[in-house]
Amino acid sequence: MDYSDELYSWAYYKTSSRETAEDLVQDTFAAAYHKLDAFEGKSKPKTWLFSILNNKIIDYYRKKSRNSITSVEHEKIANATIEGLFTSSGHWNPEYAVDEEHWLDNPEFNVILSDCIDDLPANWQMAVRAKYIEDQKSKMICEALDITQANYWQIVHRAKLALRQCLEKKWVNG
Amino acid sequence: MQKMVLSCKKAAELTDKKLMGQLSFMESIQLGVHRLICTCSICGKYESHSKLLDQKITELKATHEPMTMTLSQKEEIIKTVVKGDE
Repeated sequence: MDYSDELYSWAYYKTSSRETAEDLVQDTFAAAYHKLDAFEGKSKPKTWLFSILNNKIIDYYRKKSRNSITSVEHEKIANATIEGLFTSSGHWNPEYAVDEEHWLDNPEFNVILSDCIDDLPANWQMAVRAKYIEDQKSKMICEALDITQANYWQIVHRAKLALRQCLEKKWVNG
Repeated sequence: MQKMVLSCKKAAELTDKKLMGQLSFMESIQLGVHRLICTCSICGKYESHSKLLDQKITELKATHEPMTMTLSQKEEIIKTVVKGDE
């Protein structure tokens, strides 16, 4: 259990849920316990455990996105909301001008941004976290989410539009 | 010529695609043309806003605080793992 805190911390960071993080860590140790014979010592135990955990996290998000009516509906709603940023002729809707002054160096901004990321559809959230926070390569993200490169940049673009909207809405409404 | 003139919506897409290093040569020309002819202020600032958002999201990494498990949580995991083997 030496690495349990690090594993738990990572799992919580990836899922924002203590309960889910605990389940994932438990599943990781269970899987490691049963695969102990197969562990050849080619990597450090910590690396091995983290790779098991990361696969569990990927499975968690895949199940979440496949569970699917809620996730599909969430994406539909998010897409429809983003469409509202533009007029029918593809121009920016002037009421969505962003005032980035309050973005800069304000500690509350990070809390609101974090909340807005949590509000994104599961796949979009995963893509944003993997790209910006974990600094993963796009190829790995596409494999984890089972999407093409073209889908990937579209998802990141839509996620950023959704975040802009959310930030302005939460900032203005308090 | 029609193909060179993008809507602001499409220009925003290509701007984010550019920030991810995925823009083709033709798309970069199209984006350049749009920026020359578009007068809307939101378009003009979109790239800088998008870069700022990239930076702000990346900064969240620094605010991630380590979480720890309680002793009882750890004991519960050990019990469950061992029980599963019986």
